[in-house]
Amino acid sequence: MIPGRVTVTARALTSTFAALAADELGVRRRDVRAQVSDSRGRLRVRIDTPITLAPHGDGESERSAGPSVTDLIDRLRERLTDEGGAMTGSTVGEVQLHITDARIDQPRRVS
Amino acid sequence: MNTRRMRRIAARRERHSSRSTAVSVALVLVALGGAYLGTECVLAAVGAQPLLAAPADLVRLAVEDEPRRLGIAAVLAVLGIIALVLALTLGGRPRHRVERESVTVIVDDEVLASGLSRAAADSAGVPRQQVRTSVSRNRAAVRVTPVSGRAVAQSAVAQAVASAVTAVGARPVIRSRVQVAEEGVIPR
Amino acid sequence: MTRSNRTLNRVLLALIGLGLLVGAVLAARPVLDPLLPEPVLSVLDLGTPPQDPDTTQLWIAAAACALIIVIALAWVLTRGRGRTRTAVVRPGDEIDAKVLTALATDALRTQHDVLHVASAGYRLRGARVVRVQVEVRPGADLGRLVPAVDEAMAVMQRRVGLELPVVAQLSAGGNRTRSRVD
Repeated sequence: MIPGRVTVTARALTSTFAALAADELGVRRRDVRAQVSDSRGRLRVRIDTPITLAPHGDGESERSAGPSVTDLIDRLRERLTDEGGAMTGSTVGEVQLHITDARIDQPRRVS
Repeated sequence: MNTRRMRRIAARRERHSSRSTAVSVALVLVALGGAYLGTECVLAAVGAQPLLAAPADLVRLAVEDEPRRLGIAAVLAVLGIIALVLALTLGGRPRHRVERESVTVIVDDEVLASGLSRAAADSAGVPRQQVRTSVSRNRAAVRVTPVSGRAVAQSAVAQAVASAVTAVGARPVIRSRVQVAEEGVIPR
Repeated sequence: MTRSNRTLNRVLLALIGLGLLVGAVLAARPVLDPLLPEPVLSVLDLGTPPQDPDTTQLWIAAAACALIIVIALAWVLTRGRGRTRTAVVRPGDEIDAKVLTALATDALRTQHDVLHVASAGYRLRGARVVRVQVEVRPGADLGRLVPAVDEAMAVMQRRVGLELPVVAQLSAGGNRTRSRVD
């Protein structure tokens, strides 16, 4: 090991990305699965996770519906690439998101 | 591909049975039969005692007695024809479809019928059990058994059922007919 | 179930049917022999099992049985493939049918005639289609329920953020009580 160089293990990487995803989507850390691999020198991150959504309100119109699943995964992709990349000191080249389930719940955060 | 067009193709596909249960049943039977025959063959090959009868004996029992042999032929023929019929016919439960803005709804005729029965029963003032409806491709036949002593206005019920049919908007178009039975019953 | 699965199902049933018919013909030989032409008879002779098989033939038969069992079980166990993933947003994103089920169930929660909602996705001509199965209480007012299902499917798609080809199947719910916690 070269002094001064930090080696980030795969475990640390997946841990970080999984924690970020759990926070962003409002799910438990242990429900999120993160995998990392190489994508032409850059990092490829794959997340398998459920998602938390607010219940559908009666009389809800198109505009007041809140973020859609695609909005949320777009946000997640951005966060993993920017924040995740910064936290782990890596360049994230590709993010693959697989949403396995949706829990309809009270919103965890006020958006 | 265009969403509406995909829905149309999907709706058409839903009309036909996938035959997956038939195949599963057939394959389980084949596997069981194969397991038994295979076991008998292995037992005979190593010279051990057969489970029921050695393969040679099984064949002999099947062919030596002509009525039994022809009986087996008949059974096989019937099963074979059933399998072919299942393979070649479309199958699928009777259904109607309703094209809507965001979805193509496919309604089992059973659901349609029970909805029309309810509409007829409400209009006629009889318990739901006293209405029988059958729905076919283009027709709905509603039969109302009145409560003894309380006449049923056939035209009012016919109107209610026709409205219910129109309200659903199912295709192919259904023409309804309401028949009130001569004999009433006294509900329990 | 994919389209090819459906076709294969029928092909398999047809093969089984034909096999059974061939078996029937073999079994009915004493009656049929006088009626059939010579070439057919020699072909049928190939299919008749030997009266006293030797060990090799028995092992071959056993191996054939084992092969048939493996194929049969493999088929039964691989049923229902291609049903988990539904909408692909773009390369790299997958959304499972469970998400759609949750959204559809939520959108229909005010409809008391709806007993149960399930959804699945399948591929049709290369594109993905969603089928939502809705179990309906007997005697439901369809004039009200069908527009409600339409609206619920619109809500579902809006909340996913994608326009999807959706087919909703209304089937009879029997004597179920609502299977969801409200």
